Amino acid sequence: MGGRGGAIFLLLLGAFIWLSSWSFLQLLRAPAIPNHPFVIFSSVVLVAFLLILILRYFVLMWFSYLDHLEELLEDEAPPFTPMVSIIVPAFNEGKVIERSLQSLLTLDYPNYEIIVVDDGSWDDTYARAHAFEGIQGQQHVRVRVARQLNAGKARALNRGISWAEGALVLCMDGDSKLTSDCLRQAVRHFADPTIGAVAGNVKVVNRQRLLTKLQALEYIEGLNLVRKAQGFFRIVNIIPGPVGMFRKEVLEQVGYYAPDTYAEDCDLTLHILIHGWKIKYEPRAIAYTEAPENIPDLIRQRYRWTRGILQSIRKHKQALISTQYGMTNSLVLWYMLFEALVWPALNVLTNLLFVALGVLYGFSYFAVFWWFQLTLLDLGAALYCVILERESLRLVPYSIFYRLFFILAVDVVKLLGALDELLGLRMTWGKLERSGRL
Amino acid sequence: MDLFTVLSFTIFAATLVTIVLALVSYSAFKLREWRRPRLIDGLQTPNQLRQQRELEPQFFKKFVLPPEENV
Repeated sequence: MGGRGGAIFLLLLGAFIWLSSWSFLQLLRAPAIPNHPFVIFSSVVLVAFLLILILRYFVLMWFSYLDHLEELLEDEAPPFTPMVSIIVPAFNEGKVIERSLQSLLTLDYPNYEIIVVDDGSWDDTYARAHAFEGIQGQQHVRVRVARQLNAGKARALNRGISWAEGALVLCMDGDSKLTSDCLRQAVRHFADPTIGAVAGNVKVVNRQRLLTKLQALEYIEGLNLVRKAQGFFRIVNIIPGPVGMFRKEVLEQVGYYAPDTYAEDCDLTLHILIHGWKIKYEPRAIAYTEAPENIPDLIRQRYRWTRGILQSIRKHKQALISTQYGMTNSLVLWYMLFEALVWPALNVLTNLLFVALGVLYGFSYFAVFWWFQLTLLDLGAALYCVILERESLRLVPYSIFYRLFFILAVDVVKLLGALDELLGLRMTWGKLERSGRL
Repeated sequence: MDLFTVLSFTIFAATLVTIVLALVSYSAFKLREWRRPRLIDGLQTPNQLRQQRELEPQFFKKFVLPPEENV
């Protein structure tokens, strides 16, 4: 960690310990807690939530840091450059497809091809992509463009994969942009024959608004804590849509992307894990993507993610309840269920109890110090992730807004989305409008 | 009112307002979804599926259909 970042981290840790001790002493000195069942229940839930949050952050940080150390201690690998096929599914990406393809033609990798599959766009995506067909760029990259009737992202990816000539396949989104060394960084892990896929690092490119800054921070935290910790054990549970690399034989073995869930990337990842392959996270294989810039688009995205993840868990429920598919896979699925359902429910519940305790029962000291402790933990975690990712320290204070508004609103949507999934209500894909900032 | 009281009631109010706004925005989203025509994006209409099946029977059989429909 950098000197300044490390000092702030220690300062936050000190503040957290001081605040915890102070609020504990206040509780001891306070008049006896009323023997009201609601007050006792609320206090227990709030303290339990805080303890789970502390445990969650520290366990994730510990394994994420071990993964980081492993990377630092890694030996220089011999050159390994198998052919890679990049699959770009595109649906109404006319605003961004040209820039996306231009950036793909300048990747620092000697042996790759690009396959664009236009999934029945209504706009000029196909015409714009088709102009790139043939041998392109200084590296003589072959670009092929296919067009199909609108059939969904999973089927578009499957078409591209079926055309792929590379032993490795990189699946991305039509609106993503890869960094020039993305392929090189992801490919090196496949020198290990047990690795079936590599999950890349997704960064938010449009950080002009508070909402997108909060999402940028959310991605940095999600990837550097959860994904990195999972990467240490080679059990990454979601290979993100904007950047994921696979062995083609693995995709053939698991039957390609299935179009029966709204989170085809999550479903495929679980398939790969259940088939016994390992999945690594590579933070230097970076894809930039546009995050939703307004609340309705954000809700639509999170609603689809929540229902898609729950659909994938339900599809693999056998692995959830039986150890026949491996104890690790069972744990992966239970953890996913916890993050998708239990954790959001706990967050919304504790926030409601927190307000009730403070406003209705006059426990504002206890409640507010509880909230400060959560926020300090969030600040510490944000700082750790931002330093690890070498991102701007200016993002760290946004974790206050993250706790106050963002994660609570997102968790309300997740819960209601989960309820819809439970009731089996119909849904549509919900294509996001692109601003074309990529 | 001291600073702590102002601060605590600001946090309580912000929490409640966030929950209420999330519920309102979610209801608006559901209303829009409900008014939207079926299968408008991301999924195929039965007619499109038929067309594609006729155009590319082999590809369709191998990669596009889920196993239970793969007949």
